[in-house]
Amino acid sequence: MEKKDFTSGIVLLLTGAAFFAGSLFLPWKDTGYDWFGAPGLVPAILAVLLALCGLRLIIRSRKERDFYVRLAAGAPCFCAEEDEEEQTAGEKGRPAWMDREGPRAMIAAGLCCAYVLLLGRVPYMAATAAFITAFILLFRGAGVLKSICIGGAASVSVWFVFYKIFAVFLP
Amino acid sequence: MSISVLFSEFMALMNPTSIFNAFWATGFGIIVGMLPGLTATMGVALLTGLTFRFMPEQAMVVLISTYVGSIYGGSRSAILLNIPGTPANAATCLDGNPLARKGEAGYAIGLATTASGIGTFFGLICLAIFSPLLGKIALKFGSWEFFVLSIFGIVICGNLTAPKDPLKGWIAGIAGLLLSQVGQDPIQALPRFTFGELQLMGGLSLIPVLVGAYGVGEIIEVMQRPRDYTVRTKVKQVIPPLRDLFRYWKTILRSGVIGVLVGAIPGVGEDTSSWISYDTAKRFSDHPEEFGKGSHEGLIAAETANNACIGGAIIPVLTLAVPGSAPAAVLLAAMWLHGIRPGPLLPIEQPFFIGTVTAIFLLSTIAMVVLGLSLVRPLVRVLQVPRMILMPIVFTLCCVGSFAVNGRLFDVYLMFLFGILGYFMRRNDFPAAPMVLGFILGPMADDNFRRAMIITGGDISPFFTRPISIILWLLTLAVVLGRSTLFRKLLRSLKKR
Repeated sequence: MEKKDFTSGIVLLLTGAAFFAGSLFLPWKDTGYDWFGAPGLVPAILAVLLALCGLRLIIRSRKERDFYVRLAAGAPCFCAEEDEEEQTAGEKGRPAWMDREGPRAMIAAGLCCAYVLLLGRVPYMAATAAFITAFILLFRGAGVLKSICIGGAASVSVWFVFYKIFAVFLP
Repeated sequence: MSISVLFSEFMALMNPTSIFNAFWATGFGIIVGMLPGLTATMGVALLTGLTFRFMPEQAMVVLISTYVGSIYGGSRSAILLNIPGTPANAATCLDGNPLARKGEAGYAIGLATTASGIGTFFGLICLAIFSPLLGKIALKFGSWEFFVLSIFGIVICGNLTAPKDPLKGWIAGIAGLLLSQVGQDPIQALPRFTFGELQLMGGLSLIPVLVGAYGVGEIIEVMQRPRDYTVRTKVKQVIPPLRDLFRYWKTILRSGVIGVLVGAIPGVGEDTSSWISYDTAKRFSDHPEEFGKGSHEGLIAAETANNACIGGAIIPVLTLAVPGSAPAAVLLAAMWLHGIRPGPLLPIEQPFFIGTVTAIFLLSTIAMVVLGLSLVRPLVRVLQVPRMILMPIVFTLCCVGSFAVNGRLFDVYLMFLFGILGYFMRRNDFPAAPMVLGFILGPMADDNFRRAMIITGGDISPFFTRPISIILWLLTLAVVLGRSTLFRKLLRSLKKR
């Protein structure tokens, strides 16, 4: 946690500095009001506050180890009982990467990113069906045929319900 | 608000369209709430985009029903899986799941349903009584008070949503305030942080930000867990537990009051209310040793408070345009989208709107109790759908919801970027609620601060001398100093002397 806080602190410090610099470039004179009416005033104050909070995180992560010891002590945990056989039900033939959080998150995020980029470039129903099918297949949710059927049915349903019934524009 | 107004508004809602919308939206909310990883905020945010073309009243029926349904729905997975469907149902796990393990799953669901129904009803009564009263006080608010109120909201929300490390809550709040500054400034319409990008001129849209931070972040987090959940408890029949309701009437009343009060605090929300209510019920109980082992009283306390909180959270939305919880923040945004302007002038501009909202609450409470007690087995079956089938479908809905409001792909990209940001915030223990609250309160804080400064010619003293401002500053100071270790050490040393 100390390391995470240190990294977060640096990111916040840099973000605050960037916003502060950005607000200084906004017009402070000739706005019709004095400096207190300038559009960069509030962002500048907030940027300084954010940078200070980032600095506090950095200092805490380096100097106050006892804080993290206290933080780690006793947090309520709500989790289903460990029962590997039952809990992995549906994820057949799991490869090694499926048991690690990092690759799972990256694949999920990557698939979502690919879908977002496909929207507007490929017809909506085709993009949606391909995304859902790929997602189910990669995470071993079902076999090839079942995944294609679910993907196709879901994309048609979304199109029908939202475009035809709700009259919502689709990407 | 008189009973006759509430009755006439309720009768006006008694048409097939409203009833149909209330029932399907409540059902949708229950499903969203009971699926671990999907929250009430996400459900309401999704439907905000999707109901964009509805008439304002019908959109409110859908959104409020989803809100009520999802806060209740989370109790299902809490009882059956020991995983809270939404953060609001975390306290429900403590006694709900032990009851299910004892073979009393049906009884626990019945208890949670009736307690939630009573909680929502209590909340709507408070909404009807206190909204007009708070509205009168809100009319006395000037730019100074609105600015201090937004600071107070961020500080208290950050404090309560990150109780172990409030600094991170405050950071999230400040980040939200800062992000809301992107776009044209509200006084001179000068572009800020837009980098010449036309799409950023109007600022970052609220719905993509919300859907991203809550929805996409949750999807990635749900998918990264190597293990899935399974329902192993069988539910035979749901019994409405009237005996317990009479026996624990004091707990119900106390939890209702706690729920409404916590709900009215800006940005805090249902999860905090259910924990406070659970803890208070344990302290006042004749059998505190039963808590955590399947106590009926504990379950009632948690479920009554989180649903009563909904009514409480709507009170500041309608009177001050300040959301009491994260889903209420989305509701506020939805009202703006539909041309309704919540705030001190609402009772003057739309005198019957508070009555309409209260009547919608009543309708959705009825729908929640009816669906909760009748559709037990089909709802359990929803919990058995594997997440790798459910999550991509939810993501496609997130995209549709974000796109629908402005009809531009830029919002879909924005949603995805905020989803990644939301995911990293979770991984680093930064709560999303203060960021969302900050994002909503940002324009109000900026506009009112600068307006107040222009009025007084740069004099900041009215921020600290006006009566309501003084009260709000004192409360803010108490919250900050209360969490400061330096201040606590100082107090301790003073006591020793």
